[in-house]
Amino acid sequence: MGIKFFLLVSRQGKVRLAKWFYAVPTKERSKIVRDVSSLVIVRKPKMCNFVEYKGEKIVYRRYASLFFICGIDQDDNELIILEVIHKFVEVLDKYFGNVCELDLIFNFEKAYYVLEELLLAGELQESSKTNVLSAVLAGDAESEVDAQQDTIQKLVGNVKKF
Amino acid sequence: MVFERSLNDLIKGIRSHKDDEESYINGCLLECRKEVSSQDAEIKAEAALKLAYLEMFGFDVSWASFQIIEVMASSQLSQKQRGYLAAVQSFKPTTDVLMLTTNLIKKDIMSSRVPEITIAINGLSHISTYGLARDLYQDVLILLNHSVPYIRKRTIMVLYRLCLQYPDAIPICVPKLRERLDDTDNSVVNASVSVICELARRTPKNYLEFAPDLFHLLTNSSNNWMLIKLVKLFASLTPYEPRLVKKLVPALTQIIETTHAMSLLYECINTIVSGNMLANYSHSDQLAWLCTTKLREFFLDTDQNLKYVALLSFYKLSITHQQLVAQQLDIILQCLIDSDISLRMRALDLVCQIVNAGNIVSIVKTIMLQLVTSSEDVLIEESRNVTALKLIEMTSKSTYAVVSDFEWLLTVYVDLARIPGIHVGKVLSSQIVDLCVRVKALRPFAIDLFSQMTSDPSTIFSEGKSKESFSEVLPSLLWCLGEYAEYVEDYIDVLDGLVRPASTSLPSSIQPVLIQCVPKLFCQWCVNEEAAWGPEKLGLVKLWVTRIQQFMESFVQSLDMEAQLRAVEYSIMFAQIQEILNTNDYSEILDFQQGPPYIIKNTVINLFFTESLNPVASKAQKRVLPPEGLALDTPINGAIEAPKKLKNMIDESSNIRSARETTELSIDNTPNMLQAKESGPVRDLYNPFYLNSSPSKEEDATAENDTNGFNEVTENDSLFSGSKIMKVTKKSRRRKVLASPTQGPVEIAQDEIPEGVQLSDEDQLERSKIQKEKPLISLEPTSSTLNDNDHRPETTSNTPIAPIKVKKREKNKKKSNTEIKGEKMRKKRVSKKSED
Repeated sequence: MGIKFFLLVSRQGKVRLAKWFYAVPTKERSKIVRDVSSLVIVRKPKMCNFVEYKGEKIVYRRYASLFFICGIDQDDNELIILEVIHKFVEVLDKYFGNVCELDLIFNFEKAYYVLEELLLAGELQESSKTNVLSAVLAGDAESEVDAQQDTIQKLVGNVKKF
Repeated sequence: MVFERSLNDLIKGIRSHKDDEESYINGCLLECRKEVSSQDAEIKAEAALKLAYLEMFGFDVSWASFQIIEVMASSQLSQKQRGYLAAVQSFKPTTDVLMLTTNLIKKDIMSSRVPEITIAINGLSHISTYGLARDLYQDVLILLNHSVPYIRKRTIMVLYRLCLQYPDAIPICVPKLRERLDDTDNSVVNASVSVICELARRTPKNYLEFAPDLFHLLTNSSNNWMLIKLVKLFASLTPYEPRLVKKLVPALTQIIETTHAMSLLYECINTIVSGNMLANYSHSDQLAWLCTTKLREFFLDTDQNLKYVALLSFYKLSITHQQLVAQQLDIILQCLIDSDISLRMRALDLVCQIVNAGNIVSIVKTIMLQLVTSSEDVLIEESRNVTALKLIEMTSKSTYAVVSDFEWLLTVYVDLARIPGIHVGKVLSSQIVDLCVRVKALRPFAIDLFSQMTSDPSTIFSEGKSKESFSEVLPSLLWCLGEYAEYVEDYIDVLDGLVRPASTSLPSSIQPVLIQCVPKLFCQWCVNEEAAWGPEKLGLVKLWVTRIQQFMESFVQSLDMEAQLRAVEYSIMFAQIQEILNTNDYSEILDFQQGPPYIIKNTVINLFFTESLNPVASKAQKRVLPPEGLALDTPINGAIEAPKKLKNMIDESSNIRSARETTELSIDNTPNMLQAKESGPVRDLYNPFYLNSSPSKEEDATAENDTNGFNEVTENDSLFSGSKIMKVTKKSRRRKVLASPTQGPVEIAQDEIPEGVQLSDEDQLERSKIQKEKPLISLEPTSSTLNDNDHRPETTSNTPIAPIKVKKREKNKKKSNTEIKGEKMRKKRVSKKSED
């Protein structure tokens, strides 16, 4: 039921983003990542986007140099997951403005937040791109305001000292 | 002030240190350790973020859990966010500080600032455990009525996760969820539908009452995402509520015919196919036809994914409408030879489902073609093996129910064996034998085929990778040839092909079968053409007898035991036949002119062909009743009871003996053993060498231990050896021995000896055995000091074994070395006493 994990892997096998929606020990995590990456990276462009791994279905899509990989259950609809991945990419694109891999590497925090806005507990929680985007931007604005307030407070505190 | 690395620097650093990444990261981890325990909140937060990043690389950051919680508690939003992110990435259900988060999350949920609530809910959805769910779900429920729909939506999603962890919350949460179905905000409705759908998948019965509301949504909504969820939900409900089907079908049909979204279409079809809608419904055929047409369109699309999901759907559909799917064979066959391996595998599964007498030939042809053409590609070797195995399985399903032309099937199997690169030889060989045995009418054709193959020496004797499978199949071919040799047309050719000097170089799996096959062929040849018997044939027969005899002799040196055995037997047998044929007795020569010699016609042939071999059911052995009067469960010697005195002697002597033996056997356990023995005569039930005083107890003890073949022997042994010890020894002395059995020779030497027991030879035997077996260091002084008294060690090793002792040994043939040794140890002690 729902997505089990969401990985972003480069063509060389480097993990750019890893979100796990169910509890799994660290060693198993790295094992799964290794195995799934090696399964997906060798696929040719014309092949279909679904693979089997240990009884689970893996849905992947390649955007430029990144592989977006999702692990789902046997009775889930694969085509939907492809749509979810595509939505995620579109939101990232809008947010970062022509997103590329470097953006994701240096702002992985923001990428995680976008993903959180889109998926919760392994399910799609917001299907409208605009809503997701506005939520992320609102969150950004709030934390900026917060940070500014904090610095002002610190300054005031310092001034008070003297 | 220490210059802390910001996240950016960390990332840049890692990227620049491509070669020694691991050591660089370890250095960074150390820095983070220091930073995260600092007092400054900002530094802490940055360190938490770095840890989250490093965790992605697979490094364990669970040591920082407490510090991460501190960051989570910060009032500043960005820091809080970072803390929660690190927590989400690194916390596991086993993290011990998890309970500290309960209050933290509670506080955050109650906060007035929306982002804080958001962050908290998000974090909760990831790290929730049974305990957290139980404590927090009440608070989360309150949030359901929050004014901001954004919050409401998130709350619903997190409720799903909580309900999974803490199922007792479901009865309370579900009515609230139902209320949310009527919410004004679309996304909230969407969320609640999602959650209900997922929950319903687990326990559909509880959600049947929601059906009317959901149906209303289904017909009125235009949001594809929600529709998909609804359709999925109905798929899990329909098995429990057949009346739903009638209502759903028109709605679903409408969606199917109008929608452009492929995923929605697929979901609807999936629902129909797997939601039990096709089983009993009156219009189910129509529905199935609709689905099939739509699925067919999937195949016309260039998108491979659509083909994949279409194959999956067909698979499910074929369970109920096999004929319908079988009509789509043409496109399925195309998928079988597609370059994409996933498609091929799915198509293979599907084909196995829809195989029937009409389409099996074309299916098999396609698969074989694909196997042959892909033989150069090494990458997909495993898939080829799977394909080949599936092919065999498909054709042999329910004892060849779908096959009408067995000759064709046999040729397919033989060709399959010849395809290079697949390892299905074993399965194939058993299948071929199976075919020949079961299908009588096939035998002439089979023999024809096999004899053609064997007449051509290149098939048998050639080497190389391409003949891998074939060499595994060859034994079965040869066996069939021999077994049904009566159908062979040209015996001389076949015999010629088999009886060659190069046969000795064949692998050892083939040799015995070959050796067995040749005499069978020969016999049949002699017998079958009785009418054509004449002096020329007699001459030929004599020639062949000689030739076969020499052939068998060449195998006598073979490395394979089975082959050697048979070769020896047959070479002798054929030598005898040769002798008979070359007789000088005139009457016998006359006889030979008339017909085949008696020995061949009646004696030898009955060796092979008296009864035909039929296939045996796997449960046949169980049905065989044991003969009357045979009681398999009663112990053989259970009734024998040794007299009490004897038993005591046996016990105590066996204690010492077993102590010795166990110390000998378990060299590393010496100190333990010593300690154990020093503590007194502890009866260790699990020690295989210990005997209890009563036979029944002995049986229990032996039954409990894993048998090394010692157990029955132990019993007999003790009784046996006990009989040798005639005199009762003083128990006090024995106790001393028990107390410290392996310490010194002195105690053991104190043993008494029975009278009139032959000792000297036994002594020598024991000693020689001890020295051969390299006992423990502790034992060597004992043995040497033992020897001091009467014999020197050098002499003992050379003394021959006395014949008397051999006889006694023969009685206990099954004894193991240690048993015998133990016995001798006792006798040795006994002998020592005799010297004193």
